[in-house]
Amino acid sequence: MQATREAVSPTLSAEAIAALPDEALEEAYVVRFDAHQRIQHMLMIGSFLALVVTGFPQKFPSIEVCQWLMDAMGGIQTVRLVHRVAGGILIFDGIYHMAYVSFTVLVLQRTGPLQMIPNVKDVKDAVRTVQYFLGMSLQPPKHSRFTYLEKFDYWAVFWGMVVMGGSGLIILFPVLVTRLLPGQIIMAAFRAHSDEALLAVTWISVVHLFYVHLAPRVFPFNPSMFSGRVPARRYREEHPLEYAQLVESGKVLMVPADGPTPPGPAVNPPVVVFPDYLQASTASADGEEPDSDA
Amino acid sequence: MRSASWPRWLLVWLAMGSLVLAVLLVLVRGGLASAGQTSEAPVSAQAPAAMSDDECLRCHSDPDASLSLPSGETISLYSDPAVFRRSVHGDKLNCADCHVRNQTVPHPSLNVVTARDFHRAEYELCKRCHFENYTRTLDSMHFDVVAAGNPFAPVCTDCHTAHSVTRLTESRVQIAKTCSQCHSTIYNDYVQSVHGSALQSEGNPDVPVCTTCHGVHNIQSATTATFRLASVDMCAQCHANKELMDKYGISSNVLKTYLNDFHGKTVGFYQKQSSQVWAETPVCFDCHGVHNITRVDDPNSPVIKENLLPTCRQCHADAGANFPSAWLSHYEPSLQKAPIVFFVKEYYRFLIPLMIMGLIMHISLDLWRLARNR
Repeated sequence: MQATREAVSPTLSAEAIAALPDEALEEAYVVRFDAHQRIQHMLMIGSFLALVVTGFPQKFPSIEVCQWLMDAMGGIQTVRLVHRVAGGILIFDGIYHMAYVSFTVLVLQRTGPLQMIPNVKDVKDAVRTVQYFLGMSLQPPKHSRFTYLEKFDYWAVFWGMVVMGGSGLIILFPVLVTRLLPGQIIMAAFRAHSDEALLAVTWISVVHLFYVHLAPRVFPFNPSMFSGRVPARRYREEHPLEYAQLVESGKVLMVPADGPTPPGPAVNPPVVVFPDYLQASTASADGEEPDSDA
Repeated sequence: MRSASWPRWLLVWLAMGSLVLAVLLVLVRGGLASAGQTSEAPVSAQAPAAMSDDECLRCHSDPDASLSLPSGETISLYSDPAVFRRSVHGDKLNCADCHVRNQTVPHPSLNVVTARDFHRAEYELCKRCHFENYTRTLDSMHFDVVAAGNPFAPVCTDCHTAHSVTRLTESRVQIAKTCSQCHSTIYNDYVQSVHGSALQSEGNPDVPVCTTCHGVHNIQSATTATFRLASVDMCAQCHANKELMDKYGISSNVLKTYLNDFHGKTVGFYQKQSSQVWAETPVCFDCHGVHNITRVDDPNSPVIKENLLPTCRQCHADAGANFPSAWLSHYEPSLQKAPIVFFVKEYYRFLIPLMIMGLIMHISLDLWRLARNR
């Protein structure tokens, strides 16, 4: 038996939740990503790493390590085959994501993904964040579901996927492409594929290195993208507007220790989950710490 | 243990004696070597009973002297002493220096059936002096052909002749002619090519002759994966040489631009990997032609714009009219030559540093604020 969306009930008012003791918040988490999003990310990791390992020796053939890698992986023919298969997987991942977003918005009539669309507040937020960093303002701006940086990163990767997938297909099928387009497109795509790859690898490495690993608030590793969950305390700091909205609209799940399995991403995110809270006095903390992915 | 009981003085004398002996030996050998420089015919010195040339010519100056072989062939035994004296060996060797086995009259009988057998037996005489080049020929594809059962693949004397040997390096025209004795079809292509015609008409010293690309004594097969991959650098020896190319107003950028392009990239990988793979990817001669190579602005050139599509279609059978322009014709992308490629290149030259520097600045500011807030 599993907690479902139907189980979400405004059992506590926003005021009551705000009045909950600190330890309640320690246990609580927000389900931020569902299974589809996590699978999409994992497909991306796998194919991206394969693409980098097989792509960089092609970009930098004069580097000795690249030559060694190329040889160790069975030569250029094998490397290109693996690169193309991995590219196919990543393109599939992109299509999967588009289908997922379309289905969520059009069929399920949920507006969640639309929050990724940039707006004026993002520009203001960016300016205010820099002001805050520089000490020109005392408080950082309050973020909703996606911060301006998350949106930028998403659209950078989105654009990167289109460029890499598109240019990759163009240089894979030059004869077909030149039936419609001028021949120069082939060399332009060749160039773009190579340069965009360098940008993507550098960008993704730096973003993850800092925001997922080295940043003090998540050090040494932020597993949210795999578990789908973010500790409620951090969520309240990083996405205060959305958190307040969740609490106010009653998207709060109280899970008794002997009740249904604490929800993983099977519950449509976002939702705040307080596991064990109602039975906090009887069930010890070890019992129902959510660790399964439902 | 036994030597320990020898008288000590004997050991000292023995040691000193061998030292003196060694020094003497070194001195004597050095003296001999310097004496050897004055006479370049140590071979004749070793054969004190050598027949004189006059004795040989008593028979071999007769133009009709011949020998019948078991195969029914006859070979001429005539040798014109004047021709030999004009040859590169003329002032160094006498008949008997090479023909060592024929120093007695009558000569020992020959154990050959055909004329070719005879020539193949006699050419071995060259290796007594030219051992290095002889061994090189053993690694050549000509020798492979012999090993495969064809006795007519060339040996020393086929290219150099037996008696009228000249220095082939003195005449590049002669080199091409020498190869043409067998490779006449290729020679006919070559003499009409941009390289061969320049050699023929003006004796151009820069154009390649057969041996420039194929090597000399250890000539390798030109149909192997190794040769194919190495051919790119072979052409580049001249065509990437700025000084040489400027002389003829030709771009010396062709290797660089080729290696940066899709075909050259792939060939570059094949060149670097340890296992030899036959590269289907085109190398220079697949587009420009091999022995029949022409100027790129020649109306018959396979790479002139009008003829490029059929050339592409050799591999890309379904290529359409736009396809050849995918190849930048050895030009670096520029505003004039390939504006789209040029803009993409400039776009990323601008975008990559902007994005990465922006991100790093954002992170740095974030960290700075965190540090200040502590």
